[in-house]
Amino acid sequence: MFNQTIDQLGDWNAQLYRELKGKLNQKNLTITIIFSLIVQGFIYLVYQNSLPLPFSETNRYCLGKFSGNIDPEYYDPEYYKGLNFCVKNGLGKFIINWPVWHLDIFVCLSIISIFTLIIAGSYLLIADLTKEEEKGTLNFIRLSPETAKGFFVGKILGVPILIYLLILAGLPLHLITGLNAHIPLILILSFYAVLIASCTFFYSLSLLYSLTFSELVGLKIWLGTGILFFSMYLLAIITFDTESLIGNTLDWSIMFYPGTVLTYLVKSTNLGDATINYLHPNMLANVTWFRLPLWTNSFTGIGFIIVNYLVGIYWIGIGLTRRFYNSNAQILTKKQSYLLTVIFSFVTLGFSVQSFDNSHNSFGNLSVLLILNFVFCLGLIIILSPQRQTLQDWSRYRHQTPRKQRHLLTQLIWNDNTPSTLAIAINWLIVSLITLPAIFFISQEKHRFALFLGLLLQFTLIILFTTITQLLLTLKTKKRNLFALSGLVIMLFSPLIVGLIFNSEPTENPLMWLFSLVPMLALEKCPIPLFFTSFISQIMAIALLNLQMTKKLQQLGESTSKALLEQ
Amino acid sequence: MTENWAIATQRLTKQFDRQIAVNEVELQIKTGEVYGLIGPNGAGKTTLIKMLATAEKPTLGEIYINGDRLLNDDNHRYLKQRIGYLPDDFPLYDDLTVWEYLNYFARLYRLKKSERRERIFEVLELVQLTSKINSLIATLSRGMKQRLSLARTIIHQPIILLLDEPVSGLDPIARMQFREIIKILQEAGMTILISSHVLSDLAELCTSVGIMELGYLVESCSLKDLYQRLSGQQIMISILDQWDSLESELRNYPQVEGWEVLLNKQSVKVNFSGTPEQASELLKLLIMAKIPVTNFHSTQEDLETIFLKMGHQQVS
Repeated sequence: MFNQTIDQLGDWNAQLYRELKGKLNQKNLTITIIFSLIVQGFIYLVYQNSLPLPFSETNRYCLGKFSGNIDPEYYDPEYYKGLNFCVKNGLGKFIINWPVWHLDIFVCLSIISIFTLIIAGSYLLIADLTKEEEKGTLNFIRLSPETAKGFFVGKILGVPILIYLLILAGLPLHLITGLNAHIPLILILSFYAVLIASCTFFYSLSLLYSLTFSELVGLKIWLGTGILFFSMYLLAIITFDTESLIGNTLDWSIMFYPGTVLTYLVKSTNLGDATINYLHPNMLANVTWFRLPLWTNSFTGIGFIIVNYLVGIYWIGIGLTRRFYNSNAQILTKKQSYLLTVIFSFVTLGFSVQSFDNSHNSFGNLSVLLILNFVFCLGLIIILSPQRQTLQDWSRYRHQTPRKQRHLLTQLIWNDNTPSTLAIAINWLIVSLITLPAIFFISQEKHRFALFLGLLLQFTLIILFTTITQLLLTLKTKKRNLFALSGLVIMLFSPLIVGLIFNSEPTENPLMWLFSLVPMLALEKCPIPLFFTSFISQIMAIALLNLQMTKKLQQLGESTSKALLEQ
Repeated sequence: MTENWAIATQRLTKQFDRQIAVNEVELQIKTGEVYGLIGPNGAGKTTLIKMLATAEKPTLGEIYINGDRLLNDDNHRYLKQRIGYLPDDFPLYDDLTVWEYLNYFARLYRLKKSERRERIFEVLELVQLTSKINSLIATLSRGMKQRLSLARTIIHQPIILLLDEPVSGLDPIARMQFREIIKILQEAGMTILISSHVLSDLAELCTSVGIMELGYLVESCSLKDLYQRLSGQQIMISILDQWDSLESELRNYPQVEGWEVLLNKQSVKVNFSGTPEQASELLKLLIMAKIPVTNFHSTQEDLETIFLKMGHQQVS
């Protein structure tokens, strides 16, 4: 029966068959179920122990309210108003606020499920695909007629199968506590839908990460999982305690944490924010996108969070497909990157202009937007920059392409085998064109110039970064990807670290900050000659490095006989 | 023009950094042939096979499988069904059994449910692993793993088989078993491209050979042609005594080009340029000269000797 089910699933997806056959055995199943029951039992006992003891006077789950009958000279009435006093019923038992008790268990189980699914699942997927690539077994699958979609769906469904079972074993308790907390079933199911979407998103991202950073070798698994865990932990804390978000582009990050949806579920219990005191309902309700209150209503809010995940999954899917068929291919084509940039710029801009009355903080908000755009373009450098071999092949055999397709500018804009510098510049131009109206119409007049110049300096900086990365990628060493990545990190953080070490304020000592990703902070009080010095020096560096790049490409593209003759 | 060939390449080139591993190779293999690829390590054999299997993207040039252009993307699933590729290393999944492993690949290659079971038993029988059907792969010997890899390579009944050093690291018995399997596959009508350093195996299996040097395909012809063109005839002669008489007869016979003395002046390997009739005449002369001949037989230079004689031993 069990094997028959695996066989039937395998008829639908061959990869799923392989994963289930390798992982599902009697021993693993028993251990998983027992472990899940132990964890559930432990959580139940912890909450059981949180109920009032026979001698308790106050407790979170008691229902008695402060009567006001104390001497205000010795006691603070405000403090006592926040407490729940334990009162007994006619049978001598405490009257317990069972819905809150159940809600606490429900939320606890939800957060544990989110972390287990996303972190442990991603870890397993990164480790699994890394092993397949290192051993060479992945190549056999690449050579088979299996589609990229079929392969990755099989991996996502199959590799974390024991994690799924672990969570599924806890589902009855989760459902019961949710319903006992008076959360509508449809909302609980919506939460599950978000959880599934988020897992698909993070699992796809983990798979893409595995296929991209093959040179990180031993570090790859822990680095990837570590970054994910840290981000999730940060978002979990923000969502749990924050009553209202900051109202800028960073609010978007909340949409990537599935626990955000729990605020809707908590709100639906009508137990009152003061009683529950976490996952505050207004946190999401106040977020807008281009001033549209998309997250006020639970269902539209959940819908948009799922759409957010789906858009992400779509783009990651493109990268996965490309890397599956060709392990050396860039994650996206240049053409695709232009479209992605348009979408990204609109999404981030939408979160940046959340309300008309935030103009007092428009400088901060737009600065955050520019930083995020900058980081996005750094990501594009990794996504679009071709490897040494690709550039060499292009440079060596360019003369053999048909005359019509040989135009250098056209090749630099559209062809994936050419240097990425011009494509990154175009992407930055797209970002700027979408951001500029916001700078001119939303920001206060006194900040406009600094923001504009900041945008300009960011442009030269990003081109400088792209050229250096591209140059590092043409190095002869096998570790060139690692060098390029390290170079990018150093270029990005060194001005900030130096600034912090010397405790230099951007406005007082602006020079260092003009080379960082936040030049606009220094530009408000920066003398114009200093700006021009920085700008011109960056332009000169770009010109020199691109000259070097051209020379390098010419050298790479030389015929073997020419190289031999020169020796 | 390319339709007539099972495998055809046009100006197939692969460059790694400044090194050209495969240089404008024009390879043509007829349907049903067993084509042996010979060359020193680093001559470009593995790279060429990898490109034919779509495991490596060519820098330049085109590959045609039965006349259809082969590309490294997802649009050639139909062509992938026709190719079976066994690389020189053969990573397997240690956590699966032999049955599960083949079943997995049968599904990857879209074998119909009705024929899957039968086909797995068929290939297991062919590679003589039926007794290991439920064994974990981790418990198999190297030879068994090699045969299991071959079973995986042919599970989908490809019409083109690309084998890169399939017998390297195998003991003589495992090598012989492997050779027998290849012969069966050839009889089944598969076109096989096989690269190996064991030239005696290739001589036994192949109908054609190609020699690679410096990334170029410097020779590509039928084995028969190669022997005709380059293999010298040799005559092995053994006698009981009268060595001086034998030497004198050999010296005076015009078709004898030289000889090599073996086994303490009891045997001699004669390089002979004459026809079979002239060889027979030589034997007659020796008998008439009353030389006690115990052995007289004609042989041809083997593939290894021809390869070494040709001197194509440079790496790319």
